Amino acid sequence: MDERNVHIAWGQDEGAALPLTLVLIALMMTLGGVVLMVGSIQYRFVRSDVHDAQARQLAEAGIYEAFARLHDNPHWRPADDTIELINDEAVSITVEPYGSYLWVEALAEAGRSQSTVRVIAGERPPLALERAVVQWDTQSSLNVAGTTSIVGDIVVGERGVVESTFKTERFVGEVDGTVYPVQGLAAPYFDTTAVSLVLAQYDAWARGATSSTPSTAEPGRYALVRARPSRLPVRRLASGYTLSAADSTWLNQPHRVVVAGNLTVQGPLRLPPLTHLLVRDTLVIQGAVSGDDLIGYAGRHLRASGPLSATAQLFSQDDLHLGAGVRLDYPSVVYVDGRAVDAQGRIHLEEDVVVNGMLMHPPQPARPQQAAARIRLAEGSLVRGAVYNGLETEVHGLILGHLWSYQFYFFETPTNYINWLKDVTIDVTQRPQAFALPPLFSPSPHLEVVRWAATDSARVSP
Amino acid sequence: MADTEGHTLLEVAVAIALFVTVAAPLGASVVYLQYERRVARDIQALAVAEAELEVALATRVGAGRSYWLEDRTWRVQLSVEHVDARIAYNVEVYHRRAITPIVTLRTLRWYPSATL
Repeated sequence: MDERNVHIAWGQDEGAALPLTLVLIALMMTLGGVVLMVGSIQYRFVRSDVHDAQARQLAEAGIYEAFARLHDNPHWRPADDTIELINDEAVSITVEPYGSYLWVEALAEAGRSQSTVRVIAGERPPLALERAVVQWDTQSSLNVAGTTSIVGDIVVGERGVVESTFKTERFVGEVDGTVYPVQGLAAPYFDTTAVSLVLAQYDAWARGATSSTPSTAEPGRYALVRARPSRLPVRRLASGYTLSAADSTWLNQPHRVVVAGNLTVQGPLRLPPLTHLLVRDTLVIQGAVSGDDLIGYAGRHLRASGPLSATAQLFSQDDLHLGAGVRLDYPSVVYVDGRAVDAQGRIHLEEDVVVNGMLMHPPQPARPQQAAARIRLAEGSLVRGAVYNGLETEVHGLILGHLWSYQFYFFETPTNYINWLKDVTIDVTQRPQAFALPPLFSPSPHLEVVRWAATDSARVSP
Repeated sequence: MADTEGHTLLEVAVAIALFVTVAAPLGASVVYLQYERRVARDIQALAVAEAELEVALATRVGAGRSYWLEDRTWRVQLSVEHVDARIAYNVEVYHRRAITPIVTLRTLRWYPSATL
């Protein structure tokens, strides 16, 4: 190798070293930058976790602040109103009816995090209603007969409770509680205003009113997360329509299904949570239908038969019939208004029906014209919760909770027995501890969370 | 001259390359580890704050209470303020030697007088 060649070789080395070094520098700088960026992003993630937690706690605080304000004014209905908490932080609150319960929603921000908490709220039973039995027909005593067993306190008129012999059959049951005879006993407080407004709104929707229906449907899962009862997309169906699994293509997200006539819901079908079925005349639910937080409204008749398994609030203006195999989970409500119809409404639970929640039939303006206007629990039915009835209640099933009724009734040839309870079991100690009533059983309700409906977080733009 | 320049350039290049390949990753690693430490510390502090708040809410720590908890790593201050049946809970978690909290959580509950 001569000197010239050596020089050329050195020259080649010079040419390669600089670019190589630059490439190496760039590579290492990039690597270093990436490492720093990863660390920085990781740190930002954890700070955003902190902000998420702060926003969620603030939103929860907003829920309880709303409860406090609803205690003072139970008809307060803010819609995305900003309110200040006691520590000067602000949350946005919405309160709207959700069937007979309340839907309370709070939105709070911390840093760039935004958290929304939605709950279904009910009322803790007032102390006056912690009794097993309340009968406010003061014209007669409450007669307990046969194997009737009442565990819990009883409030009746001044004639008290009488352990009676039925025909020749002596009373062999028990009353395990204190009896409070009260002079001039009136119906327990229940303000029907809120539920009446809800039913009037459902009725208007079922009849086709469009004034407050939303115009847009938010697609997919987003809609479920953002769902609010008043903002559900509306689906109008023809009278006589049968809703079935064939409708799953659109019924994969909650809707307000409106029918100005009759609707049949045919199982097998799983309805999305929050689905509202608002029907002007008759709503029939049959077959294996399931779902959570459902609302069913019928302007005249509502009939459900098993195997129905759902958490549902079922409302009817006239009568409501639950057939064998219906199982409603807590917090369910079965409500007949009755005031708009001559028959004044009735609720009938057949054998093998379970309701975890409440049966309600508020006091009527006048005595019913038809004897059938009553709540009837057939033998083999079970209510785990409470029965509140402004008319007569006929009990052959089991009540694990409360029975508050104007009168009690049963028929055995040839006599109607008024204010008799025969072979009935009512046990208030078997009621689940977590039990909330639909508001307003007191003028200043003590609200509590019945169900945490949803919590979601989002980022807000800086 | 060309040789000398070539050697000098090479030496400079090698030196820079050595620096970049050794010092830069080392520096980046140190900074990264610092981030990691802060991340781990903040995650732990958040967990401590949430746990303390949950305990305070579950046990309904009485209004007007304010106390410090201290262990080898953390100082936790819980203060409970009572206004009109509302109880505001404020939890601050500090690193033991720090004077500013790493995580602060505030929430509120409402208990009508009958249930207090």
